Amino acid sequence: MRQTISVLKILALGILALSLVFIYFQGQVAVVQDEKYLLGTYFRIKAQSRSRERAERAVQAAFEEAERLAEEFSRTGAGSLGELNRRGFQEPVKLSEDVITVFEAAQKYRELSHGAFDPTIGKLVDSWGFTQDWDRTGVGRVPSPEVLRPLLEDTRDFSIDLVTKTGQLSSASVEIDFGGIAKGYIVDRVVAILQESDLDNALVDAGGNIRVFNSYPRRVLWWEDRRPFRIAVQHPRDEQKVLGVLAIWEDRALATSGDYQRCFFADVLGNIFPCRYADEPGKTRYHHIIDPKTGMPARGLISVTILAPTAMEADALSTAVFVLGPEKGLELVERLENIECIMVTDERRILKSPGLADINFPTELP
Amino acid sequence: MPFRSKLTSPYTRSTLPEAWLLKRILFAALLALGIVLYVLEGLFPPLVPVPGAKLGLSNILVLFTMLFLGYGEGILLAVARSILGSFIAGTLLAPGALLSLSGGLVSTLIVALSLRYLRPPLGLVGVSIVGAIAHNVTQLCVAYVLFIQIKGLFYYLPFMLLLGLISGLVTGLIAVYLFERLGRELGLSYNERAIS
Amino acid sequence: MNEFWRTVNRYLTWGDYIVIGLVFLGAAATVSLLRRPVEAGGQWALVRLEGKMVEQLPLTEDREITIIGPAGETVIQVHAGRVRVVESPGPQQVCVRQGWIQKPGEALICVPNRVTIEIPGNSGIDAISR
Repeated sequence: MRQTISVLKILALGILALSLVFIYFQGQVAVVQDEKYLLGTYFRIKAQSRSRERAERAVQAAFEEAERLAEEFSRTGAGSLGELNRRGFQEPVKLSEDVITVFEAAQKYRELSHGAFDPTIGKLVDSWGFTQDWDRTGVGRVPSPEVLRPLLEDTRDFSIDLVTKTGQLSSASVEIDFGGIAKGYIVDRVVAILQESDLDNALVDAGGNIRVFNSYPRRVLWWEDRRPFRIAVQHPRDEQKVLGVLAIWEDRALATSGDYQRCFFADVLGNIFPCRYADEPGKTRYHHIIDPKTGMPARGLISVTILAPTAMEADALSTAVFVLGPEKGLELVERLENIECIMVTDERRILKSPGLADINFPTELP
Repeated sequence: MPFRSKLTSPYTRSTLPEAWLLKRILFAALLALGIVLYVLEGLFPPLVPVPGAKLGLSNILVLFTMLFLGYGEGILLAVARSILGSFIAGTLLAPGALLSLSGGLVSTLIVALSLRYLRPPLGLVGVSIVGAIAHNVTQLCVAYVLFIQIKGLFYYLPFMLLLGLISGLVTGLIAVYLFERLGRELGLSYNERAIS
Repeated sequence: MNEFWRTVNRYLTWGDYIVIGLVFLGAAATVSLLRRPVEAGGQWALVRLEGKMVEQLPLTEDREITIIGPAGETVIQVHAGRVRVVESPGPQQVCVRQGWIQKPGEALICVPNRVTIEIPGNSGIDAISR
């Protein structure tokens, strides 16, 4: 009997020691979430780590980087892009490493999409009032053809010198607007910083431009539950609804371009009404995704969501596909590897790329 | 080891010299069988999509050991079964192992105590229900203390209770049926108090 | 069928039946004990200004508060376990038109005034691509 008890004691001690080892190795899971207002949207980072301190440090470092980059990519700010826009058509302007990287990517997507994605349309977008004016008033204006024509007729181009790290613009009509790509780049940079910090997983959401990495092996009770990130796609005509939810297991990025994001309505008399999700009878919707060839808001699609390995690709391609329209857009997506898309046409049909065929989305806008 | 006490006991030694050896062999066989059941059960997808919804068939062997070989042996079997079983299944260092080990230990102790002190009023079925519920509730509490301090964890409690009821009922009924048959074959009655 | 019950009765003692009954009672009790606080409250709406938390509003308490942000005053109302923005500066009035929110995971965002109101919790969706 005495031996039995001592055996049990040894066992209990052993189990206690084992549990201490387990606790040491496992620790607790901390989720740190923070958001800041950057580049006209809420920039949200959610990070999970065994160590709260590590997660907090990573999120803080990530926000510092995001703030720095936001300044760098501001069209009119003190960064090198603002400098290029101010005097780039007169002389070469020294550009920062980040701006050069995005320029190269922008050039690539411009060629891939045959000009549907074009960063040189800053002044065209301005003439519709979708920049500072829109932030202030919430409405834009319909520019007269006389305003648009010179901007469309000039050759809008830029050249980048990788050796001297300078850039130059082809004419005074060019203003570089990285609105369709910079946010994605910033998200990628932020994710890179988070990845270096050895976190379990993280989600970065810059106003719907989302990238996740290392989807959870999250522990609930005794069973390790690998849960995907669940990311919903906005319903383009009803703010309260979503089209559907995508379960994302791996490192992926999503971006949506929609005609409801920045828009205004105009009736036949020229009265302007603020942007809404729902269509308004008798009024025409004008939105911020401008077709570089016509200078008018792109028609044919009302929402495009792209799934891509990086947020920059997703961001740029969502704009490009939106401008290209349903047929050419789908063709572009099918040509590229690892890219999937969900689009809603102006006839309220929902189209998906073949890679998403088995995903449960409606085929008609509900 | 618990066996040594039997070895030095003059009663067993003088009347049945090979009894302790027989017990040892039986224990080893039961342990092997227990590990196999434990690992096999972990391989199947859960019957119900709720964490912890396992039948715990290897607990029948723990009950058997406690009744026929002694309580100490039963506890030893349960502990050895879960450590070796999770070692073989490769989950020993997985995050959930501590939970299942602590649940297993506490429920085994409770099963031993209730077999010893609560049986006549309870039968084997009642004891195994109590054990299964103790297993689930312990895991829940340990999870709360060590990992996730969210009150919401306890929303699982009713599920855990009902799942414990079902698995305890099933294993208990199997145990009663089995022990009756075995008892008849071996000339033993399972209702006899264990010797330890 | 009788045969079945006779076997079951042979296998189960009266103590076993009591244990089974107690488990059902316990499950029912925990359900009723645990469900109540969720409906009754213990839920909060977190109000943030420029990302910093400025107010925690219990949803059980009807009240109205005013947050002064960079663009003006945002008036937030709590009533009957729901929150809405009554008034906020800005051309689009997005957060005012959104109406009441009450479920965990829902949020109101008044971009011009940098005010966000969020009911913390898991809606099952981590983010919306909009």
